[in-house]
Order: sequence, then C-alpha cells, then structure tokens
Amino acid sequence: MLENAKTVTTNPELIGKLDEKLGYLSELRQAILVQDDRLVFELLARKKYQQQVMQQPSQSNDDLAEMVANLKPQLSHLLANKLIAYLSEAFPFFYYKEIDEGVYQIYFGNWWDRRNFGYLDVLDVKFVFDTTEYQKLTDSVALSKDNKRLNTEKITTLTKDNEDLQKLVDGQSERDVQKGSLRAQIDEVTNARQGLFANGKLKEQRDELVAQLEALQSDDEKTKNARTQIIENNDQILFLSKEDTILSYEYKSIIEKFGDFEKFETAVANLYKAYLVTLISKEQQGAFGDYE
Amino acid sequence: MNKQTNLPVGILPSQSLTSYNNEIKQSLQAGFEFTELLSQVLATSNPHELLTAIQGLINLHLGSKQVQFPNQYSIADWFLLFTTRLLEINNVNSFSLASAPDHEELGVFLAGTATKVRYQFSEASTNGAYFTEIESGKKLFYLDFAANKLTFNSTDIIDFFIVQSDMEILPEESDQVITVLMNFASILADTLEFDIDYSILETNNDYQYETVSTELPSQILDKLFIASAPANVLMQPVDSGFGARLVLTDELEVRFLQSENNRQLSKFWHFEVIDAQGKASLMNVLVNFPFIQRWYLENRSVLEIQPAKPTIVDNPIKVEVLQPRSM
Repeated sequence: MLENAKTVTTNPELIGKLDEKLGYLSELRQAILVQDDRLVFELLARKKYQQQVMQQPSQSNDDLAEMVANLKPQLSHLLANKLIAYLSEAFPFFYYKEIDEGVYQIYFGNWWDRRNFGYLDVLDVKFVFDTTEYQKLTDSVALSKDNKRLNTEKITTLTKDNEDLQKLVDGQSERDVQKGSLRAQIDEVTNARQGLFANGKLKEQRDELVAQLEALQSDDEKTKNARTQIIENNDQILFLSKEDTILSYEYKSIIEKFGDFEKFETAVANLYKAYLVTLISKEQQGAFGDYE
Repeated sequence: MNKQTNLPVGILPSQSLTSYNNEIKQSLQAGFEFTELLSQVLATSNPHELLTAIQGLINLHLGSKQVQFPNQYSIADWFLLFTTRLLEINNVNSFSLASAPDHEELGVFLAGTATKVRYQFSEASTNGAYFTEIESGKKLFYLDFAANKLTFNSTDIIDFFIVQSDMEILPEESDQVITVLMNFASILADTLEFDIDYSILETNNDYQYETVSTELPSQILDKLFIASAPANVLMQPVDSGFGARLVLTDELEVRFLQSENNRQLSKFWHFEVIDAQGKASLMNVLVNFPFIQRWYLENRSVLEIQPAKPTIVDNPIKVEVLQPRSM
C-alpha cells in the first residue's frame, strides 16, 4: 500500500507521538510481565522518580501515564503485594485491609479496637493518614513529654463531676429533713405575720427561708438527673481511657521501631524514595520477588 | 383362759421376751456389722471395698431403745473418712485428718492453708455431702454417691479463695489446696469411675467455661483492654469469631469470646484457658493475674461461670436418714 506509506511519512510528528505511546505501553506491559515493580513505578511517574530517587531533573511523563489512569485499581492491587511486604518490616505496626480492588485501609496495631488510620496510596507509595486520628496521635505524643495523656484532663473533670453528683445523691435524705424543718418555720412565720404586729422583719425572714427551700429544691431537681448523668460520665470516662490506652500502644510501637516520633515522621515523608531505593538494590542483587 | 384360778390372761413363758430379745440381738448384730465395716474401711487398700464399706456405714442404723451407742460419728464424718482414706490408699499425704478431743467428730487440714483453715463435709445425706470450709460455710464441691459424681462449685470456690479478704489466702496457698482437691477428684475418677465436673478448675485446653450471661455489655471487653495495658498484657481480637485473647505468659493464653452455636439464637460467652502443659484452669488465671481477677469480680454478675447442672436424685426419705450429730 504505497499510498498509505506516503501518508505516514507526511505526518512524522504525529507518528512519533503514537510510537512514543506504543513504546510506553509496551514497556509498561513488559515491566508488569517480568514483575519489575521499580520500572512500573518509574513509568507511572517518571519526573517524581527521577527527582526523588535519582536526584536529577526530568521531564514529566504524565501525558503518557494518563493513558493507564483507568487501570489504577488493578495496578494498585498488583504493586501492593511487594509494597505491603516491605511495609510490614519497615512499619511493623501497620496492617492493611483491601476494602475494594487496589484500595487499602490502614489499621494501626493488632490490639483490641485498633484504629482505622487512613489509606495506603500504593501508586504514590504514600500513607494517607486520617487527619483526625493522626492529630490525636501527635497531640498525645506532645503531651507524653509532660507525662500526660491526651484525655487526662477530661477524665479528671468527669471524675470530679461524678463525685459532686454522687454527693448530691447521697445528700437526698439530709435535704428532705432540712426541707421539712424549713417548711415548718415558714408556716410559723406566715402565721405570725397575720398577727396584729406584723412587720417587715418577719417578711424578710420568710423570704430568706423560702430562698433556702428553693435552693434545696433545685438540688433535688439536679439529683433527679444525677444517676443518669453519672452513668453517662462513666461511659465517657471508659471511652476516653480506651482511647488513651490505644494511643499509648501506638506511641509505644513507634518508639520501639524508630526510637523517637520525629524519625517516624521522617520515614513516613521519605517512604517513596526509601521503597524505590530498596527495589533498586533488590534488582541489583537479582532478587526479584523477594517480598512475595 | 383358765377361769378356775381367776388368773389374768398371760403368755407362755417360752414365748415371752422374744421381741425384746430380738431387738437386742438385732442391735448387737448391727453393732458387729458396724465394727466389721469400720475395720474394713480402716484396713482395705481397695477403693471399691472402701466405697462399699463406707456406704454400709452411712446406711447403717446403729442403736435402738434397748442398746445404746452413745458416741457415734455422723454421716458427714464417714464422707470425710472415705475421702482421706482414699487419698491415703493412693499415697497422697498433703492433708491432715484431725479428730475432736472430746467428742466424735472429724475435720481435715489441707496443704496450703495448713492449720489456718479446717474443712468438713456438711449437709450430708446417704446420697451425698458438701465438702465445706467450716468458718465461712463455703461449699467447695459436692460428693454425690447416688450419681457417682463429684461437682466443683465455682461460685463458692471463688468466694472462698479470692473474695474473702479476712482469710488472707495467698495465691500459692490456694493453688496448693486446689491441687489437693483436684488430686482427690482424679483419684475418684481413675479408681472408682466417678464423673467429675471440674467447672472453673477444669484444665483441659478445649474446655469452654460458659458464663451465665448472654447479654454482655459491650464495655466489658473495653474495661479488660484498659486494665490489661498497665499489666503489660496486650489484648487482641480473636482470629476467628468475636472476642478477645490475652497472651499472659509465653505458655499461657486466656480467651473470652462469643460461643458459636448456630442452634441458639442467644449468644453465650465463654472463657478458654490454653497453656502448653494443659495444667492451667480459669481459677489459676484468676488467682495469679490480679488485673483479670479485679475485672472478673467487678463484673461478676455477667461473668460468673454457669453453675454445674444439679444431679437430680429423688430421695423422699432424705430427712429421715439424717442423723443428729452425736455430741
């Protein structure tokens, strides 16, 4: 087909672009076939790879990578295999659950009621921590320097509240006696006022007694809800204590592995580079699939 | 019928006093039988013979209007004599049998609680009796001769060894006492084919200590989790099913989980105690791990182990065979 060949040569630029795409796809295909995860990562984000791992400037290949954007779930699932094996040694306290193809939820720890800590972005080789949960951890780490826990103050307040509420409950019978005596006194004063020599002083006295009675009645009112409140507070204390316990386990596991929290943060920040460097060195040792 | 002599109606001398004589004879016979049986109990080294002879003593009515045996042991004493003799026959010497100096009554001291605590059988009938700590009245097990069964009483065992602070029984001491009791139970099972319901003392790793409650407040497990942290024990979820596991030592693990039984709509909860040697029971765990003990006692209304199913043996004359204790 001579005519066609002519057409081809008339659009060298377009053909070049298509060849580039074909080349990209076939390279990616081959990398997946031979399980060269490092190359897959490079092909998916060449600029990032060159800059962060090889530490040299590079052109972005995002336009090429765009072609496989809709294959991300499968690619993520594929690359997660070796990555999670690597992470189980580098961050031994994290556990992963694939909740959808290529979507990995992070759990912190293997203890009771461990927290769901966010997601693992496999293609970016990055932890995407749940901001609320991560904030709690960093807050508790900061407080631990003063030997305090995240919820120490809240628990102290709730405990104090419960003591006060308990006093209200315990004081009920005493209040009942006092109310009886106040009512009798009020009656007495009221009767006296009706007499011929009623004066302002008696009214003052009566008002004072009524005020006292009302104060006691208001305590009674609070007591009605006190029992429910005590139970609610206890539930809250339990919840907060559990959270403190979980946070202390999290901190402890980080310290055991990294020595201090800053080193952990650095390791999290440099995860992409650290992982790819590991893949390169495995490649050099010819030890593919070591993590499988 | 001799009208001429105006004598009253009488009986033939040869036929007189026969029932009187018979009654004495029977009583003496019973007395002989008694000493025969007792000799057998004291001398035999055969557990079956021992059991038969003791049962003979328990069922024997000694004494009548005519012949009195004023100083008698009670049925409870025969149960205790049986227990201690069976241990003696099997060369177990971690107990000391004691007799009251001024009357017929036996008691026993056990290794572990030494002379601090004395035990006896109580509420004894021909069917069975409770092995009881005298001061507190806590019944540690029921020895059932009618059903050939020994049933440990987990509630009273916990009350006696753990709850009562005035007794001040140390963990090592209760471990020792429990060993003696378990020893006795296993001898009963091995030599006399008794069924044993170990309940909270069961050491089999596969045993499920079922709790009384189906409705478990969700916070119970959270409380245990919080309590385990200061004790440096990590509470984890179980691999399958719903519940928690705590590795207490390299060789000992306790689990608390929902029973998987599809036939029951209500969900029971149970404990499992797994140890390398198969020697630990839930009781050992409660005695030796204070944080679990505290948690158990604080939530006892829902965590209590199911009481043993009572063995039902009808005995309408139970009250009549109870003998008053001779003083």
